[in-house]
Amino acid sequence: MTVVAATSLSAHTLLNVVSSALVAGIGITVAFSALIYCADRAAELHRARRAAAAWAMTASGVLALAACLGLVVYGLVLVLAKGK
Amino acid sequence: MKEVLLVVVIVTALGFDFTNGFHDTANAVATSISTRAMPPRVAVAFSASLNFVGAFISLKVATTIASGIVATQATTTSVVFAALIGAIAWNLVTWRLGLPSSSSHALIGGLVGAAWAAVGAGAIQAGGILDKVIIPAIISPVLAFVVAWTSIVLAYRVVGRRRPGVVARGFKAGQVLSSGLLSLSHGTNDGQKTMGVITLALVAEGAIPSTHIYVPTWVIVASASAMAFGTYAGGWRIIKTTGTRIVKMDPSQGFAAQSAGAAAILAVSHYGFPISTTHVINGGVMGAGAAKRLSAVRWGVAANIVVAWMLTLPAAAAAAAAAWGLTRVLGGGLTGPLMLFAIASLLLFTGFARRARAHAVPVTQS
Repeated sequence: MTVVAATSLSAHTLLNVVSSALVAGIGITVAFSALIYCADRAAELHRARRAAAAWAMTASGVLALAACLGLVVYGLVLVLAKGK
Repeated sequence: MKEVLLVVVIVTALGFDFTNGFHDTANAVATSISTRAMPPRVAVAFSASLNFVGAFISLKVATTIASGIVATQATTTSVVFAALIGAIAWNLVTWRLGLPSSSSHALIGGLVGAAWAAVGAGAIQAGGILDKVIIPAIISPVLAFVVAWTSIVLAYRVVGRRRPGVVARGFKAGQVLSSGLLSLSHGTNDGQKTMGVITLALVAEGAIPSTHIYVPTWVIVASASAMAFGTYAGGWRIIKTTGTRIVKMDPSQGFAAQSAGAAAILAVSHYGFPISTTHVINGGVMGAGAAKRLSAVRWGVAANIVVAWMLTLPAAAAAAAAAWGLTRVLGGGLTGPLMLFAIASLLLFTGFARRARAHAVPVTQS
Protein backbone atom coordinates (compact mmCIF):
# COMPACT_ATOMS: atom_id res chain seq x y z
CA MET A 1 0.00 0.00 0.00
CA THR A 2 2.99 2.26 -0.41
CA VAL A 3 2.65 5.25 -2.69
CA VAL A 4 3.20 4.51 -6.33
CA ALA A 5 5.08 7.02 -8.48
CA ALA A 6 3.20 10.29 -8.95
CA THR A 7 0.77 10.27 -11.84
CA SER A 8 0.95 12.86 -14.54
CA LEU A 9 -0.98 13.17 -17.73
CA SER A 10 1.12 12.59 -20.83
CA ALA A 11 -0.12 12.13 -24.39
CA HIS A 12 0.90 8.48 -24.17
CA THR A 13 -1.11 7.92 -20.97
CA LEU A 14 -4.07 9.73 -22.46
CA LEU A 15 -3.94 7.58 -25.58
CA ASN A 16 -3.81 4.44 -23.42
CA VAL A 17 -6.81 5.56 -21.36
CA VAL A 18 -8.88 6.42 -24.45
CA SER A 19 -7.98 3.26 -26.38
CA SER A 20 -8.59 0.93 -23.38
CA ALA A 21 -11.98 2.51 -22.67
CA LEU A 22 -12.99 2.38 -26.35
CA VAL A 23 -11.99 -1.27 -26.80
CA ALA A 24 -13.48 -2.45 -23.49
CA GLY A 25 -16.68 -0.37 -23.60
CA ILE A 26 -17.58 -1.01 -27.22
CA GLY A 27 -16.25 -4.59 -27.12
CA ILE A 28 -18.45 -5.69 -24.23
CA THR A 29 -21.66 -4.22 -25.70
CA VAL A 30 -21.01 -5.72 -29.15
CA ALA A 31 -20.07 -9.09 -27.64
CA PHE A 32 -23.21 -9.07 -25.47
CA SER A 33 -25.36 -8.12 -28.48
CA ALA A 34 -23.82 -11.03 -30.37
CA LEU A 35 -24.67 -13.31 -27.44
CA ILE A 36 -28.35 -12.24 -27.57
CA TYR A 37 -28.43 -12.60 -31.36
CA CYS A 38 -26.91 -16.10 -31.21
CA ALA A 39 -29.22 -17.26 -28.41
CA ASP A 40 -32.35 -16.06 -30.22
CA ARG A 41 -31.23 -17.38 -33.60
CA ALA A 42 -30.22 -20.75 -32.09
CA ALA A 43 -33.71 -21.10 -30.57
CA GLU A 44 -35.25 -20.35 -33.99
CA LEU A 45 -33.04 -22.91 -35.70
CA HIS A 46 -33.90 -25.55 -33.09
CA ARG A 47 -37.60 -24.92 -33.70
CA ALA A 48 -36.96 -25.25 -37.45
CA ARG A 49 -35.23 -28.62 -36.73
CA ARG A 50 -31.92 -27.44 -38.21
CA ALA A 51 -29.79 -29.05 -35.53
CA ALA A 52 -26.32 -28.49 -37.05
CA ALA A 53 -26.92 -24.79 -37.67
CA ALA A 54 -28.47 -24.44 -34.21
CA TRP A 55 -25.42 -26.01 -32.54
CA ALA A 56 -23.09 -23.76 -34.57
CA MET A 57 -25.08 -20.73 -33.43
CA THR A 58 -25.00 -21.96 -29.80
CA ALA A 59 -21.21 -22.36 -30.04
CA SER A 60 -20.94 -18.79 -31.39
CA GLY A 61 -23.06 -17.62 -28.47
CA VAL A 62 -20.75 -19.36 -26.01
CA LEU A 63 -17.79 -17.60 -27.67
CA ALA A 64 -19.57 -14.24 -27.34
CA LEU A 65 -20.27 -14.95 -23.65
CA ALA A 66 -16.61 -15.89 -23.14
CA ALA A 67 -15.59 -12.60 -24.82
CA CYS A 68 -17.86 -10.62 -22.44
CA LEU A 69 -16.58 -12.36 -19.34
CA GLY A 70 -13.00 -12.20 -20.63
CA LEU A 71 -13.24 -8.41 -21.05
CA VAL A 72 -14.64 -8.01 -17.53
CA VAL A 73 -11.96 -10.24 -15.98
CA TYR A 74 -9.18 -8.57 -18.01
CA GLY A 75 -10.28 -5.12 -16.84
CA LEU A 76 -10.38 -6.22 -13.20
CA VAL A 77 -7.03 -8.00 -13.44
CA LEU A 78 -5.42 -4.85 -14.90
CA VAL A 79 -6.73 -2.70 -12.05
CA LEU A 80 -5.81 -5.32 -9.43
CA ALA A 81 -2.34 -5.87 -10.83
CA LYS A 82 -1.23 -2.26 -11.03
CA GLY A 83 -3.67 -0.44 -8.84
CA LYS A 84 -1.98 -1.05 -5.49
CA MET B 1 -6.09 18.24 21.94
CA LYS B 2 -4.76 17.87 18.41
CA GLU B 3 -6.06 14.30 18.42
CA VAL B 4 -9.61 15.60 19.03
CA LEU B 5 -9.41 17.70 15.85
CA LEU B 6 -8.03 14.72 13.94
CA VAL B 7 -10.99 12.60 15.10
CA VAL B 8 -13.40 15.39 14.06
CA VAL B 9 -11.78 15.52 10.60
CA ILE B 10 -11.96 11.74 10.20
CA VAL B 11 -15.64 11.68 11.22
CA THR B 12 -16.34 14.58 8.80
CA ALA B 13 -14.45 12.75 6.03
CA LEU B 14 -16.56 9.65 6.61
CA GLY B 15 -19.64 11.90 6.58
CA PHE B 16 -18.52 13.20 3.19
CA ASP B 17 -18.05 9.60 2.03
CA PHE B 18 -21.61 8.84 3.14
CA THR B 19 -22.94 11.82 1.11
CA ASN B 20 -20.78 10.67 -1.80
CA GLY B 21 -22.40 7.23 -1.73
CA PHE B 22 -25.82 8.79 -1.19
CA HIS B 23 -25.31 11.35 -3.97
CA ASP B 24 -23.65 9.02 -6.47
CA THR B 25 -25.91 5.98 -6.03
CA ALA B 26 -27.62 7.23 -9.15
CA ASN B 27 -24.48 6.65 -11.19
CA ALA B 28 -24.64 2.92 -10.80
CA VAL B 29 -28.31 2.10 -10.42
CA ALA B 30 -30.36 4.74 -12.24
CA THR B 31 -30.40 3.06 -15.65
CA SER B 32 -31.07 -0.41 -14.15
CA ILE B 33 -34.05 0.98 -12.25
CA SER B 34 -35.43 3.03 -15.13
CA THR B 35 -35.34 0.05 -17.53
CA ARG B 36 -36.80 -2.17 -14.76
CA ALA B 37 -33.83 -4.52 -14.94
CA MET B 38 -33.78 -4.58 -11.11
CA PRO B 39 -36.19 -3.46 -8.36
CA PRO B 40 -34.94 -0.26 -6.64
CA ARG B 41 -34.13 -1.81 -3.24
CA VAL B 42 -32.28 -4.75 -4.81
CA ALA B 43 -30.37 -2.44 -7.18
CA VAL B 44 -29.28 -0.14 -4.35
CA ALA B 45 -28.25 -3.04 -2.03
CA PHE B 46 -26.36 -4.71 -4.88
CA SER B 47 -24.59 -1.44 -5.69
CA ALA B 48 -23.72 -0.81 -2.01
CA SER B 49 -22.09 -4.26 -1.70
CA LEU B 50 -19.99 -3.81 -4.82
CA ASN B 51 -19.06 -0.23 -3.86
CA PHE B 52 -17.65 -1.71 -0.64
CA VAL B 53 -15.65 -4.36 -2.51
CA GLY B 54 -14.48 -1.83 -5.14
CA ALA B 55 -12.90 0.42 -2.53
CA PHE B 56 -10.36 -2.32 -1.75
CA ILE B 57 -9.23 -2.85 -5.34
CA SER B 58 -6.92 0.10 -5.95
CA LEU B 59 -5.18 2.90 -4.02
CA LYS B 60 -3.76 4.95 -6.86
CA VAL B 61 -6.48 7.60 -6.76
CA ALA B 62 -6.14 7.95 -2.98
CA THR B 63 -2.47 8.76 -3.33
CA THR B 64 -3.22 11.22 -6.14
CA ILE B 65 -5.67 13.09 -3.88
CA ALA B 66 -3.15 13.00 -1.03
CA SER B 67 -0.45 14.61 -3.15
CA GLY B 68 -0.24 16.98 -6.09
CA ILE B 69 -3.42 19.08 -5.66
CA VAL B 70 -2.31 21.46 -2.89
CA ALA B 71 1.08 21.80 -1.20
CA THR B 72 1.50 19.25 1.61
CA GLN B 73 2.63 22.00 4.05
CA ALA B 74 -0.66 23.86 3.46
CA THR B 75 -2.86 20.90 4.31
CA THR B 76 -3.29 21.32 8.03
CA THR B 77 -6.05 19.42 9.79
CA SER B 78 -8.17 22.60 9.90
CA VAL B 79 -7.76 23.08 6.13
CA VAL B 80 -8.86 19.49 5.46
CA PHE B 81 -11.84 20.01 7.78
CA ALA B 82 -12.92 23.21 5.98
CA ALA B 83 -12.46 21.44 2.61
CA LEU B 84 -14.78 18.64 3.71
CA ILE B 85 -17.43 21.05 4.98
CA GLY B 86 -17.34 22.90 1.63
CA ALA B 87 -17.61 19.65 -0.34
CA ILE B 88 -20.47 18.31 1.80
CA ALA B 89 -22.32 21.63 1.48
CA TRP B 90 -22.09 21.59 -2.34
CA ASN B 91 -23.06 17.90 -2.46
CA LEU B 92 -26.18 18.63 -0.43
CA VAL B 93 -27.14 21.67 -2.52
CA THR B 94 -26.89 19.72 -5.79
CA TRP B 95 -28.66 16.72 -4.27
CA ARG B 96 -31.50 19.02 -3.16
CA LEU B 97 -31.75 20.32 -6.74
CA GLY B 98 -31.59 16.76 -8.13
CA LEU B 99 -28.44 17.57 -10.11
CA PRO B 100 -25.89 14.78 -10.62
CA SER B 101 -22.76 16.86 -9.94
CA SER B 102 -19.33 15.49 -9.09
CA SER B 103 -18.52 14.65 -5.45
CA SER B 104 -14.88 14.29 -6.48
CA HIS B 105 -14.69 17.79 -7.87
CA ALA B 106 -16.50 19.10 -4.81
CA LEU B 107 -13.80 17.54 -2.65
CA ILE B 108 -10.94 18.83 -4.80
CA GLY B 109 -12.56 22.29 -5.03
CA GLY B 110 -12.96 22.24 -1.25
CA LEU B 111 -9.27 21.45 -0.75
CA VAL B 112 -8.23 24.22 -3.14
CA GLY B 113 -10.57 26.82 -1.57
CA ALA B 114 -9.61 26.02 2.04
CA ALA B 115 -5.87 25.96 1.28
CA TRP B 116 -6.15 29.24 -0.66
CA ALA B 117 -8.01 30.90 2.22
CA ALA B 118 -5.56 29.57 4.80
CA VAL B 119 -2.21 30.02 3.08
CA GLY B 120 -2.80 31.91 -0.16
CA ALA B 121 -2.63 31.10 -3.88
CA GLY B 122 0.92 29.79 -3.50
CA ALA B 123 -0.43 26.61 -1.88
CA ILE B 124 -2.28 25.61 -5.03
CA GLN B 125 -0.48 23.29 -7.45
CA ALA B 126 -2.04 24.56 -10.67
CA GLY B 127 -0.18 22.10 -12.89
CA GLY B 128 -1.43 19.17 -10.82
CA ILE B 129 -5.02 20.43 -10.95
CA LEU B 130 -4.87 20.87 -14.73
CA ASP B 131 -3.34 17.43 -15.32
CA LYS B 132 -5.20 15.44 -12.71
CA VAL B 133 -8.56 17.18 -12.57
CA ILE B 134 -9.41 19.55 -15.43
CA ILE B 135 -8.20 17.52 -18.42
CA PRO B 136 -9.66 14.19 -17.18
CA ALA B 137 -12.90 16.07 -16.35
CA ILE B 138 -13.22 17.22 -19.95
CA ILE B 139 -12.11 13.97 -21.55
CA SER B 140 -13.99 11.40 -19.43
CA PRO B 141 -17.62 12.39 -20.20
CA VAL B 142 -16.80 12.88 -23.89
CA LEU B 143 -15.11 9.48 -23.94
CA ALA B 144 -18.13 7.83 -22.26
CA PHE B 145 -20.46 9.64 -24.72
CA VAL B 146 -18.49 8.34 -27.74
CA VAL B 147 -18.19 4.79 -26.35
CA ALA B 148 -21.92 4.59 -25.50
CA TRP B 149 -22.96 6.17 -28.83
CA THR B 150 -20.78 3.79 -30.90
CA SER B 151 -21.79 0.80 -28.77
CA ILE B 152 -25.50 1.38 -29.21
CA VAL B 153 -25.19 2.00 -32.98
CA LEU B 154 -23.33 -1.32 -33.34
CA ALA B 155 -25.67 -3.13 -30.93
CA TYR B 156 -28.74 -2.04 -32.94
CA ARG B 157 -27.04 -3.36 -36.09
CA VAL B 158 -26.45 -6.76 -34.45
CA VAL B 159 -29.82 -7.27 -32.73
CA GLY B 160 -31.98 -4.78 -34.64
CA ARG B 161 -33.93 -7.49 -36.49
CA ARG B 162 -34.39 -9.84 -33.56
CA ARG B 163 -37.62 -10.03 -31.53
CA PRO B 164 -37.83 -6.91 -29.31
CA GLY B 165 -39.01 -8.89 -26.26
CA VAL B 166 -36.06 -11.28 -26.41
CA VAL B 167 -33.58 -8.41 -26.93
CA ALA B 168 -35.04 -6.43 -24.02
CA ARG B 169 -34.94 -9.46 -21.69
CA GLY B 170 -31.35 -10.20 -22.73
CA PHE B 171 -30.12 -6.68 -22.08
CA LYS B 172 -32.03 -6.48 -18.79
CA ALA B 173 -30.12 -9.57 -17.65
CA GLY B 174 -26.92 -7.97 -18.95
CA GLN B 175 -27.64 -4.86 -16.92
CA VAL B 176 -27.10 -6.86 -13.73
CA LEU B 177 -23.53 -7.45 -14.95
CA SER B 178 -22.95 -3.90 -16.24
CA SER B 179 -24.51 -2.32 -13.14
CA GLY B 180 -22.29 -4.50 -10.93
CA LEU B 181 -19.22 -3.52 -12.91
CA LEU B 182 -20.16 0.15 -12.68
CA SER B 183 -20.68 -0.08 -8.89
CA LEU B 184 -17.35 -1.83 -8.51
CA SER B 185 -15.58 0.83 -10.58
CA HIS B 186 -17.38 3.58 -8.62
CA GLY B 187 -16.10 2.10 -5.35
CA THR B 188 -12.64 1.77 -6.88
CA ASN B 189 -12.48 5.45 -7.90
CA ASP B 190 -14.68 7.31 -5.41
CA GLY B 191 -13.99 5.23 -2.31
CA GLN B 192 -10.38 6.28 -2.57
CA LYS B 193 -11.08 9.99 -2.39
CA THR B 194 -12.02 9.88 1.27
CA MET B 195 -9.08 7.58 1.93
CA GLY B 196 -6.89 10.28 0.35
CA VAL B 197 -8.38 13.02 2.53
CA ILE B 198 -8.03 11.04 5.77
CA THR B 199 -4.47 10.21 4.76
CA LEU B 200 -3.84 13.94 4.22
CA ALA B 201 -5.10 14.67 7.75
CA LEU B 202 -2.92 11.88 9.20
CA VAL B 203 0.10 13.32 7.36
CA ALA B 204 -0.77 16.81 8.65
CA GLU B 205 -0.82 15.48 12.23
CA GLY B 206 2.44 13.58 11.74
CA ALA B 207 0.79 10.16 12.14
CA ILE B 208 2.13 9.27 8.67
CA PRO B 209 5.49 10.61 7.45
CA SER B 210 5.13 13.02 4.48
CA THR B 211 8.16 11.36 2.87
CA HIS B 212 6.47 7.97 2.78
CA ILE B 213 2.72 8.42 2.36
CA TYR B 214 0.64 5.24 2.56
CA VAL B 215 -3.03 4.44 3.20
CA PRO B 216 -3.59 2.48 6.46
CA THR B 217 -5.88 -0.55 6.31
CA TRP B 218 -8.36 0.85 8.87
CA VAL B 219 -8.78 3.93 6.63
CA ILE B 220 -9.69 1.65 3.68
CA VAL B 221 -12.23 -0.34 5.73
CA ALA B 222 -13.84 2.77 7.28
CA SER B 223 -14.08 4.61 3.93
CA ALA B 224 -15.48 1.58 2.10
CA SER B 225 -18.10 1.08 4.83
CA ALA B 226 -19.21 4.74 4.91
CA MET B 227 -19.64 4.79 1.14
CA ALA B 228 -21.56 1.50 1.16
CA PHE B 229 -23.94 2.78 3.87
CA GLY B 230 -24.42 6.03 1.91
CA THR B 231 -25.14 4.10 -1.26
CA TYR B 232 -27.69 1.94 0.55
CA ALA B 233 -29.41 5.07 1.87
CA GLY B 234 -29.91 6.06 -1.78
CA GLY B 235 -30.53 9.40 -3.42
CA TRP B 236 -33.85 9.06 -5.21
CA ARG B 237 -33.89 12.62 -6.62
CA ILE B 238 -30.69 12.12 -8.63
CA ILE B 239 -31.63 8.57 -9.61
CA LYS B 240 -34.74 10.08 -11.22
CA THR B 241 -32.73 12.72 -13.11
CA THR B 242 -30.12 10.30 -14.44
CA GLY B 243 -32.54 7.43 -15.04
CA THR B 244 -35.47 9.17 -16.69
CA ARG B 245 -35.11 12.95 -17.05
CA ILE B 246 -32.11 13.06 -19.45
CA VAL B 247 -33.45 10.36 -21.77
CA LYS B 248 -36.03 7.58 -21.59
CA MET B 249 -33.86 4.52 -22.06
CA ASP B 250 -34.48 1.02 -23.32
CA PRO B 251 -32.47 -1.86 -21.74
CA SER B 252 -29.87 -1.92 -24.54
CA GLN B 253 -29.18 1.79 -24.01
CA GLY B 254 -28.96 1.25 -20.25
CA PHE B 255 -26.50 -1.59 -20.80
CA ALA B 256 -24.38 0.48 -23.23
CA ALA B 257 -24.35 3.53 -20.91
CA GLN B 258 -23.31 1.44 -17.91
CA SER B 259 -20.67 -0.53 -19.82
CA ALA B 260 -19.24 2.68 -21.32
CA GLY B 261 -19.15 4.25 -17.87
CA ALA B 262 -17.51 1.24 -16.21
CA ALA B 263 -14.92 0.90 -18.99
CA ALA B 264 -14.00 4.59 -18.81
CA ILE B 265 -13.80 4.63 -14.99
CA LEU B 266 -11.72 1.44 -14.78
CA ALA B 267 -9.37 2.66 -17.54
CA VAL B 268 -8.89 6.05 -15.88
CA SER B 269 -8.61 4.61 -12.33
CA HIS B 270 -5.91 2.29 -13.63
CA TYR B 271 -3.77 5.37 -14.31
CA GLY B 272 -4.68 6.98 -10.97
CA PHE B 273 -6.80 9.94 -12.08
CA PRO B 274 -9.60 11.02 -9.72
CA ILE B 275 -12.31 11.41 -12.38
CA SER B 276 -15.95 12.04 -11.69
CA THR B 277 -18.05 8.90 -12.02
CA THR B 278 -21.05 11.23 -12.28
CA HIS B 279 -19.65 12.92 -15.39
CA VAL B 280 -18.82 9.57 -16.95
CA ILE B 281 -22.18 7.87 -16.46
CA ASN B 282 -24.14 10.95 -17.50
CA GLY B 283 -21.92 11.25 -20.61
CA GLY B 284 -22.73 7.60 -21.31
CA VAL B 285 -26.47 8.13 -20.80
CA MET B 286 -26.44 11.10 -23.21
CA GLY B 287 -24.40 9.13 -25.78
CA ALA B 288 -26.70 6.11 -25.63
CA GLY B 289 -29.75 8.38 -25.96
CA ALA B 290 -28.32 10.47 -28.81
CA ALA B 291 -27.43 7.32 -30.78
CA LYS B 292 -31.13 6.48 -31.11
CA ARG B 293 -32.01 10.02 -32.17
CA LEU B 294 -30.61 13.38 -31.08
CA SER B 295 -34.02 14.67 -30.02
CA ALA B 296 -34.40 11.74 -27.58
CA VAL B 297 -32.03 13.55 -25.21
CA ARG B 298 -33.56 16.36 -23.16
CA TRP B 299 -30.77 18.81 -23.90
CA GLY B 300 -32.17 21.39 -21.46
CA VAL B 301 -31.69 18.96 -18.56
CA ALA B 302 -28.27 17.98 -19.95
CA ALA B 303 -27.28 21.66 -20.12
CA ASN B 304 -28.32 22.20 -16.47
CA ILE B 305 -26.15 19.24 -15.48
CA VAL B 306 -23.16 20.58 -17.43
CA VAL B 307 -23.58 24.01 -15.76
CA ALA B 308 -23.59 22.26 -12.34
CA TRP B 309 -20.39 20.45 -13.36
CA MET B 310 -18.69 23.71 -14.29
CA LEU B 311 -19.82 25.39 -11.06
CA THR B 312 -18.75 22.53 -8.78
CA LEU B 313 -15.02 23.34 -8.43
CA PRO B 314 -15.42 27.09 -7.81
CA ALA B 315 -18.59 26.74 -5.69
CA ALA B 316 -17.09 24.05 -3.43
CA ALA B 317 -13.90 26.13 -3.21
CA ALA B 318 -15.90 29.20 -2.17
CA ALA B 319 -17.90 27.18 0.39
CA ALA B 320 -14.70 25.70 1.83
CA ALA B 321 -13.05 29.14 2.01
CA ALA B 322 -16.16 30.40 3.83
CA ALA B 323 -15.99 27.40 6.20
CA TRP B 324 -12.33 28.20 6.88
CA GLY B 325 -13.32 31.81 7.62
CA LEU B 326 -16.11 30.62 9.94
CA THR B 327 -13.73 28.44 11.95
CA ARG B 328 -11.58 31.59 12.48
CA VAL B 329 -14.62 33.66 13.47
CA LEU B 330 -15.83 30.93 15.88
CA GLY B 331 -12.54 30.94 17.74
CA GLY B 332 -9.79 29.38 15.59
CA GLY B 333 -7.52 26.64 16.91
CA LEU B 334 -9.58 23.70 18.12
CA THR B 335 -12.68 25.68 19.18
CA GLY B 336 -13.63 26.98 15.72
CA PRO B 337 -13.66 23.62 13.89
CA LEU B 338 -15.41 21.93 16.85
CA MET B 339 -18.17 24.55 16.94
CA LEU B 340 -18.63 24.41 13.18
CA PHE B 341 -18.69 20.60 13.35
CA ALA B 342 -21.40 20.71 16.02
CA ILE B 343 -23.52 23.20 14.03
CA ALA B 344 -23.08 21.31 10.74
CA SER B 345 -23.86 17.94 12.37
CA LEU B 346 -27.04 19.30 13.89
CA LEU B 347 -28.17 20.80 10.57
CA LEU B 348 -27.28 17.64 8.65
CA PHE B 349 -28.95 15.29 11.09
CA THR B 350 -32.15 17.33 11.12
CA GLY B 351 -32.19 17.70 7.34
CA PHE B 352 -31.49 14.02 6.61
CA ALA B 353 -34.05 12.79 9.11
CA ARG B 354 -36.72 15.02 7.55
CA ARG B 355 -35.75 14.05 3.97
CA ALA B 356 -35.41 10.34 4.71
CA ARG B 357 -39.02 10.29 5.88
CA ALA B 358 -40.26 12.26 2.87
CA HIS B 359 -38.16 10.71 0.06
CA ALA B 360 -37.36 7.13 1.06
CA VAL B 361 -36.36 4.83 -1.84
CA PRO B 362 -39.59 3.08 -2.80
CA VAL B 363 -39.81 -0.65 -2.21
CA THR B 364 -41.51 -1.14 -5.55
CA GLN B 365 -41.19 0.89 -8.69
CA SER B 366 -43.46 3.87 -9.18
